[in-house]
Amino acid sequence: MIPAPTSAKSGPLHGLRILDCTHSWAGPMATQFAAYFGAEVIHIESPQRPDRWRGPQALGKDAALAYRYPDGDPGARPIDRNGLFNERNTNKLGLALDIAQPRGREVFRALVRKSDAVVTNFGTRAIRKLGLDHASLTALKSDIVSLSLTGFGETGPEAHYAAWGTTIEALSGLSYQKGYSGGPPLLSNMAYGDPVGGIYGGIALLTALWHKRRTGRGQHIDLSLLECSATLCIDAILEFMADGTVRERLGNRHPKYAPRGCFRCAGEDRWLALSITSDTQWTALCGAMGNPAWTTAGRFADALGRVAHHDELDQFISQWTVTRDRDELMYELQALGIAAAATFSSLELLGNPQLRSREFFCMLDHPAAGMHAYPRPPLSLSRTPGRLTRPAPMFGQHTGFILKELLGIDEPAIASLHEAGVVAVAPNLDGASQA
Amino acid sequence: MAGFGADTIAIEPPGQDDRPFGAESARSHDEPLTTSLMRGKRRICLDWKNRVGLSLLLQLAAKSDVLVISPSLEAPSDNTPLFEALIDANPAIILTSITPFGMTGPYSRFTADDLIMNALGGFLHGVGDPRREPLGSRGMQSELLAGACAYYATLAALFQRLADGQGQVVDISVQEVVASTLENALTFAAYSGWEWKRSGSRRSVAYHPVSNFRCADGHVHISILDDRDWRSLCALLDCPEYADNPRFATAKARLENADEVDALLTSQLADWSRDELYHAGQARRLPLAPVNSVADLLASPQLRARSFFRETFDLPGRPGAIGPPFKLSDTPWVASGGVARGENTREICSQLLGLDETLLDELARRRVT
Repeated sequence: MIPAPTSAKSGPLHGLRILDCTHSWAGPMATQFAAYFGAEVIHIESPQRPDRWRGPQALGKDAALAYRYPDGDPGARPIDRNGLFNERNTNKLGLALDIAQPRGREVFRALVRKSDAVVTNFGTRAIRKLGLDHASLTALKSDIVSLSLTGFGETGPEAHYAAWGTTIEALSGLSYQKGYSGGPPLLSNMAYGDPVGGIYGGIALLTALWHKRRTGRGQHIDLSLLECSATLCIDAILEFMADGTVRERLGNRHPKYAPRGCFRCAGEDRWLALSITSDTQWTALCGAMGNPAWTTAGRFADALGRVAHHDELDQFISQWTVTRDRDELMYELQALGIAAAATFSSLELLGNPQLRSREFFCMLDHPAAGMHAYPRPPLSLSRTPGRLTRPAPMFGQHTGFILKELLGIDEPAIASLHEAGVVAVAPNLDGASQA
Repeated sequence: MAGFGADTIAIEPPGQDDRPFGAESARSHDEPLTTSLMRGKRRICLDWKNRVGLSLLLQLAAKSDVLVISPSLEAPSDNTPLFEALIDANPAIILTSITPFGMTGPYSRFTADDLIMNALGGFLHGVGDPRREPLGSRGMQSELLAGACAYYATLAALFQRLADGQGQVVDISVQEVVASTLENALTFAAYSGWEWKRSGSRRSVAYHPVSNFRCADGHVHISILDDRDWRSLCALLDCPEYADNPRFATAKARLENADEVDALLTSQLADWSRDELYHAGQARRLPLAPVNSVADLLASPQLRARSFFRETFDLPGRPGAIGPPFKLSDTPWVASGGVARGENTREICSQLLGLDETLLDELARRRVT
């Protein structure tokens, strides 16, 4: 029998403590995987510079970003209600600590002595300045694992260059291949370099933690977001290495089989993705369309012929799909073994029967944002499944708990740290704008 | 995992056909990728759909820590009976399944390729021209990311096994992996009913420009997320009069006048080369980037300096492998050479399963191996 979930609440990574000194997307995603499987992840933010993904202190001129907040309302403290931060930091504890101050550094060092790993996504200069480099961390805890996520890696002539998830998509070769046939290179309409780096960051960290568990030895990991996204071009890179071919943009088409593309269905902006990878599937599709006369033309008989006459093929198929219901057609064609799919919107995915049946969404009650569905990481274990147990921390939410329970600092000392602005439960900004 | 030292045995179907499981004739062009993904692994041929072959697979499973299965995308099947037999053979084994939609649920038997998995994962709907069809990606990004997620979950299961000695099943759904990359579109949908929509060459959020632009010798990407960067860009492109022009000075104004912004930049960029813009922009801390082709990647001084492209002993003189995209200081990933399909069949059947020469000949004759 496939093992059923146990009642154990700890998770496979229970007992590991990870200091998450990252912001935005890639770094927080890498540590979120560990938090999902039971590691204690402490997300550390500066009182002066909250995580970028918390958004601005007040929306003001950025009113166009209101969609990121529950009911479109930023509320009294927008930084606790931003869906960007709140999705990416579930299951973590939140600490607001200024490690640029000497007393903040002391608190941080005490935490390092009790932790297994430190994850950062600052530039290499800032890392050294803040004492977050591996040599400094090792001096505090000999078996520490450190993971650094940067745009270009810690070495090389462009190591100090600035990057966003979008620029990484352009640099990596991904954007060059993306676009309609004959059109310009396009982007994924999001910071795609980030989730790619986040997933690879997760496996890099866990690999080093595995080695530490088995040998007692820590080490440093130098991750390049550019290299992560370039890895997704591996098939195109190998093709170029083999014969010098540079792949051009083909829209949704494939050079070796057809038809492949999105076909308009009945209704507003409703499309069916279709990918016929074999003659068997082609014959089945012809049957589903009622074997119209045009399907018997010799030029459509094999994959190469269909590729060569793709425009014509698209017109014929569209005439059939345009009056049909997208979802009905998906089920009807899939029942015949044909690769067909609705192009679901993000709103539709919330109610998607497949994701729902696999409990991809979990309801969490966030003290400032309310009760909402959040997606879990795409990692399912049968016996010890991960669990979303805790909404993302409000700014500085667990500062007191961490100082007192974890580090054993007494109340007067904690009060003094608050007074000096070393720790905080509210950001201390001079109106600085956050993206 | 093989690159990090795991003794990894790839199990492929016997016969002349050198396609891996799941590959149809149309995908045989992936052969260089197969070669690359087989690096560092031992390769055996075994038809486990045959009764004798299945028995050999179960014996191998009894001596293994992990079994990863990624069945044919075109003809998905229910692996539950196979998994139950494997668990009987080795209760401590980690069984990792990678399928388009997961082992359970109404789509579990759906057939798919990268386009289909991206459609159902929500990635297509938001990408491309709003007046045209949704746009997928070339290649197999969704499968590669799912492979990385499978690595993570498998290693997590191995951690659990260190604690209690028991195995379990890892069930990776590519659809879920894709849905996890949508820049929080699912949470925004839950929070405010917002829908991530296609916006052509621009981003559908409140920033502009975040786009690719044509320049003298190709395309360059410009991401301006704050007004300071806009002023810096105007200085770089020698058009300071636009820095504080109220039609362009704020994110809101640039979004409202996006066509004008695009026309301005297109004309200012016409004489710049990609590399000039890249380095001059970065000198001002502007995150500009060339839109690189794979040929540009191979020539990148940054990637070369970090040895991202590697020579392997079987292909001397030219790069034959890439990555990984992270460097472990003490236990680096090793880009081993590859072996031929089926090369290790006899060795493994003899060493691990104790089969003798006569039996090995007979299995080969019956095309079980």
